[in-house]
Amino acid sequence: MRPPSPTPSPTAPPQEVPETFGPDAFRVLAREVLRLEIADERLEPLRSLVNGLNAELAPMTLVDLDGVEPDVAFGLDPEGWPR
Amino acid sequence: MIDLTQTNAREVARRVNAGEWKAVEVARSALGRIEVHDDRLRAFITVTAEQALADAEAVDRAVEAGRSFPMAGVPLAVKDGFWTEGVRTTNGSNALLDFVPGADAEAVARLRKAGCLLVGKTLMHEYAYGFTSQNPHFGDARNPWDPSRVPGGSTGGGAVALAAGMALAAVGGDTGGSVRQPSALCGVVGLKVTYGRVSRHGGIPLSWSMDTVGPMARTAEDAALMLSVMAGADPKDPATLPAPALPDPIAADGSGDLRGLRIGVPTGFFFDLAGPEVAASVRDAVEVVRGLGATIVEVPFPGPELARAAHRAIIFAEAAAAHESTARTPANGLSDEVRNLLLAGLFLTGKQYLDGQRVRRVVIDQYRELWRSFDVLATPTSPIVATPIGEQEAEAAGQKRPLVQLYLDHTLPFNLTGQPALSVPCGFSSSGLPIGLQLVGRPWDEATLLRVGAAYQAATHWTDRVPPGLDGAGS
Repeated sequence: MRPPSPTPSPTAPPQEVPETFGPDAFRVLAREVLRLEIADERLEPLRSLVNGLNAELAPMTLVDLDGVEPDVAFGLDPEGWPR
Repeated sequence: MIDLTQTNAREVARRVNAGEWKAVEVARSALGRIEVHDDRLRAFITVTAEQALADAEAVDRAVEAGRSFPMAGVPLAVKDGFWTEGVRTTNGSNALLDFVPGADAEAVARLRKAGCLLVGKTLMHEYAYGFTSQNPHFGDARNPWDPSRVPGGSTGGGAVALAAGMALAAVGGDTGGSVRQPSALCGVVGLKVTYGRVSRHGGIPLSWSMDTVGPMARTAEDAALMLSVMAGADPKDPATLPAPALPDPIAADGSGDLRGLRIGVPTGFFFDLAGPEVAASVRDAVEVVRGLGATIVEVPFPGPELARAAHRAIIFAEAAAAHESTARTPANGLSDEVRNLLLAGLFLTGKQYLDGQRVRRVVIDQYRELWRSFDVLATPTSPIVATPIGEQEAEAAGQKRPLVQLYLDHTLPFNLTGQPALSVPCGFSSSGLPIGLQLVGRPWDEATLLRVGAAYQAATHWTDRVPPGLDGAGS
């Protein structure tokens, strides 16, 4: 379930993965905002993964979602709550 | 010993209920094959030999007392992401090495009550977050048709166990293709049920709004039998409460007549990315179905990009929410790969998740309109056959592409929409690797898929093949 490999093979077509997060911004977000306690050497693979994930979400921005409600499983008990 | 590659769950149940076979004899046959082949194929994380024999003795006693069971004496393998009472449930990870549930998952409980014998917990991709069943903690599950190749995943061990005759029924979970894809790569039958058809209680979640629990078997009829036992309302899973009843029986015996049924065959990416042998096998299968009376309708079907985007937004956010504390805890046995996948979801915004759920509605509306012109969509389950262990990319349509897209883009759209989808074997590559036909239906219409699958199977006999070196009771 992971996004495309951040290091495609030389035979792969050139794929520019847009960077949602540069190294510095990512470090601040991971360390200061999300308070992740992960080693420095693990930050870069995670950053590549997150940037790849954001790139894969891009097609959603091309859809007109005006008036579309999220499809979430939410419904009140039709028989009411127990008394 | 009974050769479990030469029988099926329905036959076992019939013979055990009739007193022709003892459930203990069936259990010993399954356990014998596990003992001989599991070191090489790694289908199981935990083998429950004592439990299987105890279950079998109980079934035999009850049958001798005049009772019968729909699945009497059927050896059952359960993915290790589902609770089993008193049996450790690791979810494929050292992070849960000591987790021993106090109860069975609801689907497992129903199958055992129906006479199944629990032979073990199957190897899976760690936390079900992947598609190869390469596992850093328990070893790599191997494809019985070529052990140098992956069996698919995440329910890889279940598919291996069925193909190798170590079990005749398996419980899998499917959030993006994890029942159908390994079934296709290993030459067995897998059903991804409509969301809400089978209780998710006791399944360790990956994505609450897309997880499904489904039957895997050697034949479509066996999958139907399992579904009849597993399905139904369960107060412990509210998603099951609105489910309409299944027909009884789900798939009528010997009904090969598909007249009146419209089969949609998509144009575009489903076949464009498929290897020539895969595409030819699936198109041949469509012709067989036409020969059984169905009408074939060519359907322009949208590409996977939008469905994939929404699926990614939802699964990453939901998996991160479900397992955040595990992912944040250092040195707890979780692999770096899965830890990163779980942590990645923390970087998504609330808007991205909700947009995923809004796009989901758009995709459902698209598909609902498309389904007006046909009843069942027929596609390759996977555009490629099983790849060598360790690879991350494969060539398709003249380009190297990431396996995550090749293996899942054909299946994940229907987790997003909640629709049922069945994978049945439909041929073999020239190198002897299985190819799967995916049949996708309207929500709650598993019965039609199983009817088509059973009719196709009866006309073709692909399911009769046994992996090299695995035929024979003693092998």
